[in-house]
Amino acid sequence: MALVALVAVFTGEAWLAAARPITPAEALAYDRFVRPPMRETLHQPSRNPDVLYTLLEKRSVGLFRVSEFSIRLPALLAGGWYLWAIRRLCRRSLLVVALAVAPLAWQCFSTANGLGLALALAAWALEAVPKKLNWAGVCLGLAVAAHLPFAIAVAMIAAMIVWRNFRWDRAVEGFLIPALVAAFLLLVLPLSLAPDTPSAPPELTSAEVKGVRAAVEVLRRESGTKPIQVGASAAVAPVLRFYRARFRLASWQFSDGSADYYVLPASAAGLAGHGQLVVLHRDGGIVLAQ
Amino acid sequence: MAPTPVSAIFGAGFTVAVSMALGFLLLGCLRLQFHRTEAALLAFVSGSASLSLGVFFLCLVHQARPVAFAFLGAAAIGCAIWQARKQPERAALPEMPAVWRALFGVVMLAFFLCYFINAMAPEVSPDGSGYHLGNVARYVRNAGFAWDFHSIYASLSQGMEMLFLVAFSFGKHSSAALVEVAFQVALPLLMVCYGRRFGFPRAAAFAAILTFACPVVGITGSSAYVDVGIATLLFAVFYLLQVWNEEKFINLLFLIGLLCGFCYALKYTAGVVLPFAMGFVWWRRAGRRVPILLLGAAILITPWVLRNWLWLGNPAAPFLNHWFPNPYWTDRLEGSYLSGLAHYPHVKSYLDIPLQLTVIGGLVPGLLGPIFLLAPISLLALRQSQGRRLWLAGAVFAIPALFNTEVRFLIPSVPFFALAMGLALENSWGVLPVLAVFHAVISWPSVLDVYCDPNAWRIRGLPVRAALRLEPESSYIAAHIGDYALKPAIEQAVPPGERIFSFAGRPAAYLDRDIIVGYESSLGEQVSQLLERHATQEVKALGIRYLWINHSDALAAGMRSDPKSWGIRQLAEANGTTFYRIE
Repeated sequence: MALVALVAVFTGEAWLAAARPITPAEALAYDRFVRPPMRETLHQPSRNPDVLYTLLEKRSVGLFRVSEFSIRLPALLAGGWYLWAIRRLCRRSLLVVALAVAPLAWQCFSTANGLGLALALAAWALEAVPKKLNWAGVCLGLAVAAHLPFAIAVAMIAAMIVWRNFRWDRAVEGFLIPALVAAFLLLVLPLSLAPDTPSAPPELTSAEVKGVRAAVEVLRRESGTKPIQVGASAAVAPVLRFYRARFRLASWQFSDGSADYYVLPASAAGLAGHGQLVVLHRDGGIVLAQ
Repeated sequence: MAPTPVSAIFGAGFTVAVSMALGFLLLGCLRLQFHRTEAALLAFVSGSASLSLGVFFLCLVHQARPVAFAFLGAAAIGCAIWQARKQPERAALPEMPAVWRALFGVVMLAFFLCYFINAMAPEVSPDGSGYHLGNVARYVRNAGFAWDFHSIYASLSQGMEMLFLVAFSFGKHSSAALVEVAFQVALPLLMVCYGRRFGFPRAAAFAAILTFACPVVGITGSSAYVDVGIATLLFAVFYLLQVWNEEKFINLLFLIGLLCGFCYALKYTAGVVLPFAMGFVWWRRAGRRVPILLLGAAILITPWVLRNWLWLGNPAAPFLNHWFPNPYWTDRLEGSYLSGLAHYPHVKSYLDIPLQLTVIGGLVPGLLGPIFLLAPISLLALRQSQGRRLWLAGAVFAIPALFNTEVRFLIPSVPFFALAMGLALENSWGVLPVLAVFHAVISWPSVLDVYCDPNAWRIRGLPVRAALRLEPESSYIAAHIGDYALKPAIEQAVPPGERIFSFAGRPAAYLDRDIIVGYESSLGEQVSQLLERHATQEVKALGIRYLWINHSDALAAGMRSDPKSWGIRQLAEANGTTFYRIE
């Protein structure tokens, strides 16, 4: 029964990863930490909370090209890894099913962020204790690197492990130091270079994201393969850049100044700054204008 | 004669060979026995002290000429070879694990080539092309000390410059930088020997990689600076103290004293090692042996103290002017100079300092490498007596960094904290090699560009063409030192022996005219004050007929817009500086 439940959950996660449209947070993370070369990812206007995840995402995108599924693939694989870990960790089928189904609520294995990976690594850390303390430490360190806000949870798990295996030398040298070093290696540069005052554009709603996608489809039909300049508001730009990569629209150039086409929120504030525009398409609160 | 790669390598190689020869002779005289590798390294550092002292005396009698160096050096090498024939073969130290041998070898080779190529390229570092080799070039012109030139930088102790002088005489600027590379290479090898001798070879190899690949060690060691040489000497003193602690051989204390004295001769701030060594000997209940240590130290310290006392009236020149008033540098100037060094400019908060020192490096300037953010982990080494000693040494040798905020002042403590980190992490499986590889990768020049501040002082590439002189030396220097563009105009306009005034330091190593810098002497300050009053004729009366002014200097705009009212005539202008003659 447990195995069936695990397979069902994994299939469900895979379907969600393939079918759900991109979210604004995923698009922004892609735009800042996956799309640019490594040198530029270290100097973005906001901190990267999912360093390990974005590294894997970069690899996945490099192998399978940009798509909603490819950017979520590391999370999905982490989901499989998590399910395997809980199967080994729990003896009771009921508990396995409960632990397998719970993450569905957050969709953390079908969303392109590091939470699912951190969860999987934490599960493997628990599985490795007490025989492989080194391995457990490395897993917990990587969990922090996968999703920085998970550090608090990791600290609690680490305290628990140290408490259960209390021998100072062994706990420090065999567990805490590997955890610290694993996290350090991945986080030292991104965190050291993170800006003091991070900035992020306002997020679009899911309806607006759908609107951007519809606008992209219309613009593809409208412009074909001819080179065009596209302008977008700060909120729209990451999503638009994702779809540009997704549909390999290399002839589209983004412009901060005057452009051939604009993809903007339909609000008056969005249009006011761009003078007289001819609206070509309007959907989900997003306007494609010329 | 224009320097060639061969002459540069010969100059440095000859200096190192003479140092080693003198060192082996000294170790033989003191009947000190070491293992094979450590004997060579300790012979080099102790021989360099002897050579420095010898060159000092040649400078005193104005016989510091290539011929003298060649004859005396060849004689020393001959004597050392003669002595070596009678020596039994030395025993080897315990082996290092094969994995570490391979890792250490690869990292050492890669970074050595990088440093060697950079040192071979024409010297363009600020202080190297400024006062370090500026003094050396002046001594070459005078075949000894230049008593009529007064500057704070000429009055500092110059033990390393004495070694540079030998190399410079044969191979010019690059040769001097290569001598510093020799000390840079000796340091990690000494660290590895230390670990092998005292039973922690893996931690020592890790620490050696951390130290050798450290970005600020890289750039400082491949330039004509003295800081890496100091770090090597300080580590050698610490090493010998630990050996003495085991063997209690009295002659070792004399050698330790000599090296302590040489540390003072290299830089005043390194003199902190003498009280450290005395404290260690006293702590090991051998207080009555301290005079032997002091005797050795006095041999290297006294010449510099006496030189300054007799020449300038201040044995600690350019400091302690309050107690030793003299016409060349005042108490007030000293105070403002020191306070300028002791503050972090533009650093907004103290919390920024660790990141500046380790990752960013734009304001300090230079960086130790991100790995040193893990330095607090070395506190775990306090559980062992070796760790406690290393920590104490690191802390003591970091004291000068409190008085000068440049990150290179932390170099002397880097090997000690790196070793302490190695000891703390030694028992965590796989951690040492992973961190060592990580540090080596992110300290490589092209990788540094990815994350550190663009203005951080660091090695920026591998200038192979410049190193082999396939690219003309003058074009390489001109591309890195803006002031160099005025060299032809200065050499044409200024008769030999004439002096030039400047508010800012200049690449004195490439100019054979003396430059009086505004903040470097009382004369400089006097000229600065006269210029503020537009009294150019009074400046001329002081024997200074030429002015070299940056466009950013306070008086520059007035001089450029109306030179006639200043009584000056513009002779040349380039790269934001103008050269004038007082009419």
